[in-house]
Amino acid sequence: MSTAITCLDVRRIAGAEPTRRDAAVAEHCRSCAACTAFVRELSALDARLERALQVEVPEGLEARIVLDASLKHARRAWQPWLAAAASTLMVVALGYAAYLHQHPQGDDLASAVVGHVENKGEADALLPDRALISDASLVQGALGGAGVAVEGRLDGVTYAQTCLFRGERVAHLVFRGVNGPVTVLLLPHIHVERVMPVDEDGFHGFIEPMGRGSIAIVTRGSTPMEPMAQELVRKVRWTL
Amino acid sequence: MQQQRFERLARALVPSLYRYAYWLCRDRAFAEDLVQETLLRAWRSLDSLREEAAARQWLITILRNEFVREITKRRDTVDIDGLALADPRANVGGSDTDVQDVRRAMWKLAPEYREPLVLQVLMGCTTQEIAVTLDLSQGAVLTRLHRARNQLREMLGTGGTHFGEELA
Repeated sequence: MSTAITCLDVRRIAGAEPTRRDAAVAEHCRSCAACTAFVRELSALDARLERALQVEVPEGLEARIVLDASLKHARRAWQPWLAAAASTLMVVALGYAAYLHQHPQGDDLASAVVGHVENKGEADALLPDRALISDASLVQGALGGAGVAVEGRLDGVTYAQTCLFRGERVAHLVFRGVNGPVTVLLLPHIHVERVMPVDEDGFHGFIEPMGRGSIAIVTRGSTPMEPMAQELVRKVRWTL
Repeated sequence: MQQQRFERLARALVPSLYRYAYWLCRDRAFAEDLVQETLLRAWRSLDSLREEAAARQWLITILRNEFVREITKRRDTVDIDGLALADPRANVGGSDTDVQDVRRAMWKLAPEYREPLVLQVLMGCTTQEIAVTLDLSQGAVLTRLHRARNQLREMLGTGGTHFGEELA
């Protein structure tokens, strides 16, 4: 079957694709000097064109681009991880801060309790000659202000106040003990996992978990505190 | 592994990509930026490149898209026409007269004729590949290539006739 093509076809084909090896074009060119010259001319033009298009590539461009892409890729690849890590760290830090606030370490909390008890504003609470509070409603009021309720009656209270402790309201009570006053802080917002001893600035005692909160009991004297703690645990409940 | 693959591709194709970019924008710094961004984008989606043989076409497409994107972005801030005519004597190599003559003639071609020619002669693309890259029919690509060569022949004083133009 003949694949004969015309001069027009040859010029159309060669004009668009001079390097194309087309059997029909070759066949035509064998008997057509004009088309042969045309194809040669276009091939020569393409050779010139190929040289002219080879603009000089900046020295070291490949290495520079590879390095840059590597660095950027590495940075971008790490960015989400770093952002996630930073967010996680922030959440952990905030969580830990909140945890410490709610679950303070023993030493830290013990110091804070003693610091509060020694505070100048509270100092007269420990005066040995303080009278007992006969009006139970005063005690109830001080407890209620801190979100604390008591079932029954608390005896031997010489001081009852709602105080701010670490930014939260707490109930501050002082009991007349057999061997010196005993201070009790009812801490509805501070939870401890276990009983923590207090031994600082002459005060001794402990902080005991109670539901979602805790009770701190300290004294400079030698009044037994365990029975007092048991009574409080039995009678006190958190209302907030 | 991925880095080695990327480096292999980059070292093999950066020179031709840079030249293609230069013939698109006629600005060395812009061309470098284009290649750089192209390679960066390529690396990010290197997994999508199944066959190494398709890499050249894949990178050309990325580079061209990046060029269009950049041009669109710069349109409001720089003189794009000025950019196209920037520094015709820039040091792009090839000091002999013939090379300079051909380059001058190339820059005189309309972009729609110049680009298919660059893709074909410089990048070694087939007409089918050019058609895909430029989103044209293969017939339109053949026509543009034919017309581009005819215009070059005329500018360079090598062409006797425009034989075949009527068919294009």
